[in-house]
Amino acid sequence: MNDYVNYMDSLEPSDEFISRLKNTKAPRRRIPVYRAASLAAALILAVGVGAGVWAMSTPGETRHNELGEPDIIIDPSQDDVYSHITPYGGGYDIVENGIVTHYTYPRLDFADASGLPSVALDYTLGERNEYTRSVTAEDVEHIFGKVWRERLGLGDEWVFYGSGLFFNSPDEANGLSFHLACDDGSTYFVELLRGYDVPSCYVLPDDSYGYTDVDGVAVQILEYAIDRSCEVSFFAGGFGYRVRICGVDNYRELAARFVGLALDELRGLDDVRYEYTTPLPAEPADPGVTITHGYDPTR
Amino acid sequence: MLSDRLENLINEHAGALYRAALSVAGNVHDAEDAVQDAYLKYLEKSPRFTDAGSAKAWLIRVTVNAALDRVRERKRHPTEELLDVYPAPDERTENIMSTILDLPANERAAVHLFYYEGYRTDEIAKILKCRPGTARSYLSRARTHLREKLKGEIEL
Repeated sequence: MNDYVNYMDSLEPSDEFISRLKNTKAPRRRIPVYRAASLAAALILAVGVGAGVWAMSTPGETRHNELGEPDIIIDPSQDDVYSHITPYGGGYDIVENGIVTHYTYPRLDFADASGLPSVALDYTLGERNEYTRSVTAEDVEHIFGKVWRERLGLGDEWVFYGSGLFFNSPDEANGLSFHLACDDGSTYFVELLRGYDVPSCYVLPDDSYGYTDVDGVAVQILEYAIDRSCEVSFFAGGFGYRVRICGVDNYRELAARFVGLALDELRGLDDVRYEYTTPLPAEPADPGVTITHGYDPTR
Repeated sequence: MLSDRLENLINEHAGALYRAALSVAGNVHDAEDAVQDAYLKYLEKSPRFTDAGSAKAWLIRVTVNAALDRVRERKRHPTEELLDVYPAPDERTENIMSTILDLPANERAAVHLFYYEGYRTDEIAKILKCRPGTARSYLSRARTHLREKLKGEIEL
């Protein structure tokens, strides 16, 4: 690996970047980290994906039918634009009442009534050899709202909000993530990643981890009672799982329910121990959950 | 003063963080963002470190995870790749670097942290927030891939 080491040794950050770093200012105000993460994710997707990728497509081609619903564009010429992007990504965003979306393949283009660029994507919705197909707000709500409310035992007050992404690459990340939210700002953020622990840049070594052992699966929990939030993460059945719940009194019950779903049996987290530690080593359990949403709006 | 400590940490570790982020993200844009995220996180959390090693480990951990997050996002935001910005000095190095950059991001991170930064697998596991067995698995898969692709060009 000497060649690698020598090459990496030659890489230095630019003076301009170092100068920029040194001018970095601390944020003026701290907000609950999970709320911030959710908002950031929503904003990144709504603004970044919308403004960025949308701009790469062909604005103005989105049409609306007689009911004001967006039609789907079939535009194979745009395939070249995306030819350098992996064709395995997918996901949905909803902002207010409009679907906001973009994707790689097949493409589903929308613009909501406000004119904001919108992104929704899921290659699994595409039919073979088709570039696009229609999807409605109801479709998206069904996939990430109804289906998951039922699976997680949540009330109807939890609605899909913000972003839902599929990652499905043969050689890298494969999984999904999505948000549910209540009107009062409570959030429920789920991530699944096949073959890997779900990475995070929000959990830090100085934080206090609790953990419990559920049938040999180390379940790690990070709890902030002050804003009624917690994060539960574990690896089982070949999947990394993480759920962040924020702003509800029964966050521990909801977290336990998620663990129960993932391990195919409802279990509590009463035996959680708190230490500065890493999770217990554990062997993956048998698969209890798949990431397939099982919903096909073409049917 | 926090700003003084920040400047010291930048002077001491920005290069290492930048290289770690480049190894994971594979492009300058995301690497710079990841490094900046780490220092922003430092300003926000103001963690206390017992020594320079723990400061570097903390910063690398935040940087690498921020870079991994960007790799997931990058599927829809392609940018100029590492070797286009920093060309390899010779064909052999270019071949090695291209093969390493073809690895999945978690494996690239493990390779860099092990071979360049010299971390043990249990330390890599803490940085990548996975179990030690998973970190060893990343390295093992990476080595197998590199041996197959480079066929004697590289010593592991």
